[in-house]
Amino acid sequence: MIPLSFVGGVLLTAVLAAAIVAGRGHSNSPFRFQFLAWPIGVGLAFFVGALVYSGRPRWPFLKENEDRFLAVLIPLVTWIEALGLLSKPWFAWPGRLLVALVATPVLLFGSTYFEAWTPAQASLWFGGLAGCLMLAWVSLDRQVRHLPPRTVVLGLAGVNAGAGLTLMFAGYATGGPLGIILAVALATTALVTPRSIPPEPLTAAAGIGLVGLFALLVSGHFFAALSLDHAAILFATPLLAWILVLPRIRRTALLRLAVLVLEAIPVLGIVGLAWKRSEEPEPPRQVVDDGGYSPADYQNFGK
Amino acid sequence: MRLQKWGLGFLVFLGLTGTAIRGDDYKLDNVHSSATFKIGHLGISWVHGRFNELSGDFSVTDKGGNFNLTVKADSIDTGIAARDKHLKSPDFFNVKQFPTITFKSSSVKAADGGLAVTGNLTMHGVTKPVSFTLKGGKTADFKGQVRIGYTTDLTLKRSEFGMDQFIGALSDEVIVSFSFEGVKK
Repeated sequence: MIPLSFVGGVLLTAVLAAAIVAGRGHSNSPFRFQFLAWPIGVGLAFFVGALVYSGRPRWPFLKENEDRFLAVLIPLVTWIEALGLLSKPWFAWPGRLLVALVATPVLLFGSTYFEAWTPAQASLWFGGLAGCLMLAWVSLDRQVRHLPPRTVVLGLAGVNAGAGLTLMFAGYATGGPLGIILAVALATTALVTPRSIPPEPLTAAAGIGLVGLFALLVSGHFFAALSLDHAAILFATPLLAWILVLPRIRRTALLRLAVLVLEAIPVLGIVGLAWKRSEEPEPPRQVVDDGGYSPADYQNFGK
Repeated sequence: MRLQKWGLGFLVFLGLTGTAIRGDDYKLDNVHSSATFKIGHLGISWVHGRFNELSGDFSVTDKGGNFNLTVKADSIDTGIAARDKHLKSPDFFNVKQFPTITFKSSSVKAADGGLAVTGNLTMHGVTKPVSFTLKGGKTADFKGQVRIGYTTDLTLKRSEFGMDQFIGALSDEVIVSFSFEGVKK
């Protein structure tokens, strides 16, 4: 049975995101201030929806990965995206780089990884993941500007929803629904965005969605049982939309459909594989070959 | 003379029955110790599990003692690998964030049949005071090593330790049985 808190969180997220974007201010107010509705709509609606669903973030905010995701990463990326909209376009990138650099350490803060990893291993993981997030961010920013922007955000919403389902099959039942709530925030924002709106505010909304996707996948892999291959494929899925730039599809409707279908294929595939993996019967437990043991060995155990 | 005889007899009796030797330090023997638990499922049955890796040190004196016990959360074992994965995730123990469950005593007093112990239990990053009676305290000399054993049962509310997911399907109360043996240092 679907928990009421989840239904409430989803509904509230949709209403809040739609209300913030649709009621962004008078048409004669400066464009840049109106644009703030997109990052605030996605960031705030997701935060409130997650709070209603899971009761998180919980005090103290730095205690668990979910708390740090909601109380640190989401406000940080929302603030940076909002700031980027108020200034020159390049101004957002140093902030985005900062988010990419701190995202993994923030999520893994205080965990056993900090003790288990050597400085070299930690640098590789933190640096590698920051690099992946940054590359995906640049790609997504370009996609919003070169492909139908609302469709790109809708596609990202679909990937987030798929990541949420995959996470649930990977033994993180309460973390997965956050992906669906984030998907609702993104999809609602995209659907209520008028066609006349330039791509800038949608890049800001997409940035929050991307960081959310990244955080869910990192949390799923490092704190639950999400396999690295599933996480990597889901994170790389938005890149698929670039294929559509090659044949130069002229008809917008066809392009929109192609973006969504292209992204849906790997997402549905991974969700199916994760479901199948969760349903697989367990291999029998290994029986220790007792041929080499004697009662004397047993009596000496623990000494 | 008669008193001396009685005293000697009492000492022989202590040696035969293996009553606790006081004022000694012990190291927990993981092979002969177990931390098991049971949790209600749908209010109709119990699911049992255990933690396979325990460690700790303790001392027992005439006036009481001191207990420092650690359970490795990652060693949870309910016999179903998929369920164990779920229990290790942030839905429950979040073992990558909170790798150990620890108990540190603050007060140990002699009690009927054992020791009345009060201390702080830290689980899932939350520390709460708990009290229980450790029954036993008998010793045994095994291959030249003195061993002492205790056992206790206690009921914990998992929600008090921040593990409040799926209450209803799974009971809030968890009954824990802890039995351990220490080898004299």
